[in-house]
Amino acid sequence: MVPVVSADLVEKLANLVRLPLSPHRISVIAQAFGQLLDDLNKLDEIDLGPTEPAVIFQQVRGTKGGVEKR
Amino acid sequence: MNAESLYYMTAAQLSEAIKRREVSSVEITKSLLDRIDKTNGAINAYVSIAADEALTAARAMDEALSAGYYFGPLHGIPVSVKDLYETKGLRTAGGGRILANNVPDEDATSVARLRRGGAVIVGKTNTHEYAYGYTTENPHYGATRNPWDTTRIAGGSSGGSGAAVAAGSAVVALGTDTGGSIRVPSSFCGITGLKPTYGRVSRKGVLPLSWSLDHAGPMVRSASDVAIVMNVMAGDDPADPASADVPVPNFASRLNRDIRGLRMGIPKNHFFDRIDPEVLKAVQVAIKVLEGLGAISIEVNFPHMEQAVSAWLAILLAEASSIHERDIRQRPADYGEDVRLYLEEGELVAAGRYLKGQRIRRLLVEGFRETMAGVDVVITPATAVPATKLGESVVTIDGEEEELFRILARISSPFDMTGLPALALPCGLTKRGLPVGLQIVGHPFAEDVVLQVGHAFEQATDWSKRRPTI
Repeated sequence: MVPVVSADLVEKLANLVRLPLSPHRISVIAQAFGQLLDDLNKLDEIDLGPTEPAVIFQQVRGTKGGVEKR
Repeated sequence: MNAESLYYMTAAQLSEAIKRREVSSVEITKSLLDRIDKTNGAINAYVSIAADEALTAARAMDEALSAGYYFGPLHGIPVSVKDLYETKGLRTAGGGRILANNVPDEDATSVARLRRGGAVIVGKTNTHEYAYGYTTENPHYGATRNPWDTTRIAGGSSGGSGAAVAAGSAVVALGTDTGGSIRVPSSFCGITGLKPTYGRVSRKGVLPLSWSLDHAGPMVRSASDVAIVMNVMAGDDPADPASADVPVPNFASRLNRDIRGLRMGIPKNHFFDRIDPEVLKAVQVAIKVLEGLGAISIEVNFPHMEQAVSAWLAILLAEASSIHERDIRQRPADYGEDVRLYLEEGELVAAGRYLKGQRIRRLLVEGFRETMAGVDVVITPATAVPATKLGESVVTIDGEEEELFRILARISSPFDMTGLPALALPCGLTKRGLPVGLQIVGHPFAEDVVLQVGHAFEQATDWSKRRPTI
């Protein structure tokens, strides 16, 4: 079941990041945003291990694509 | 050699013919321009055609050859460039309205390297708006149609390049791949496309979609053509911060080695889940062909695949919205509906999601490395479905509906996340006559091995030689 997101929530989130949206755009985003949140919530289903800074630093340093040299 | 036969030849064949003076670059370029003229109304593969500039460049290549100067295997070969690569003096709009009048002063590094290698730039090919989508149904420049069935999409985002190579209106085309945008149109159009290892080919001068996922690469008619183009395109570029300073091999060096004893990983999970039955059958037959050539199949299991597409999505949305941060606020009406929605949604994704996506990416990279330690390549379908109808956004597989975006991301995006080289090449046709694509994935910077397997498959079958009737 895809969660329903209210237009009110979308408007509040958009205001937080200063994204100007018309009532129509808020309605369009609200209809799609539930599916996206559902997708992103899957990220919580994995144990990422310890949260020590050194571990997280190691994990996110892969912004170069993560590829190691052969 | 008549004009009809020229436009469907491979770059390797044309290159030999030019070298032997059996055909001139001007003859090839004229043949191609004529083919573009005949087909572009039906497929809308090109958004700009630089006929005069191309003929001038072709003449210069012919004169250079007559004077004893030979620039290499791309000497005098026409190249068509996705409208995401900057091209000096030739509009680069990225498929968007905002950049509709953008005429760059410089070439992207890859385009400059190709020109130095003797290539003749013919024109710019259509793309999904800012490369942000799989269909190339562009609201500003029109939809690109599939040459095998013009009621269907060519795939995307490099749909114009895929359609042009398939229709014989391009010999060599350039694409980009952030979630499958080289491999999806290659699969849908029945051509061969390589997403190289992340960092192997410079993205300097290529309009970005998502900097940690973007790749640039060739779309052509054979593995050996991929090698010819990669030998010119690849290599370190200090102007691209993601560029890898690693040795560049001769990508053609393994093409003629047999594949006896080569170990092929066949995924047990994820990559063969919910696949169109005709696609599944064709890929299974292709694996048998490779086994018949002496390759050994080994079942492999990739970890963390349940989160792979979500992690990709978190990274893509955040990075793309960051790139378009100013324009989505100041000129939102200048975006098409789908891209505008992705960009607006991306603005609302929490920073923690992006970081989690990157952390999961690290687990994927490590998991893929461990899984692939015992194999040389991994074989999967290139796409779970063949080309869909224009306007179709939901597809039913095995009685289950799924969004096309997610179906296509499922198989291709994990290799943008891990940066591994991945080749898509034709391995069959459906009963409706639509191409089916095979994907061959290699270890980091082992494009030569991927091309070796692709070439062996091409030599054993004739799928790469099939042409649409357009």
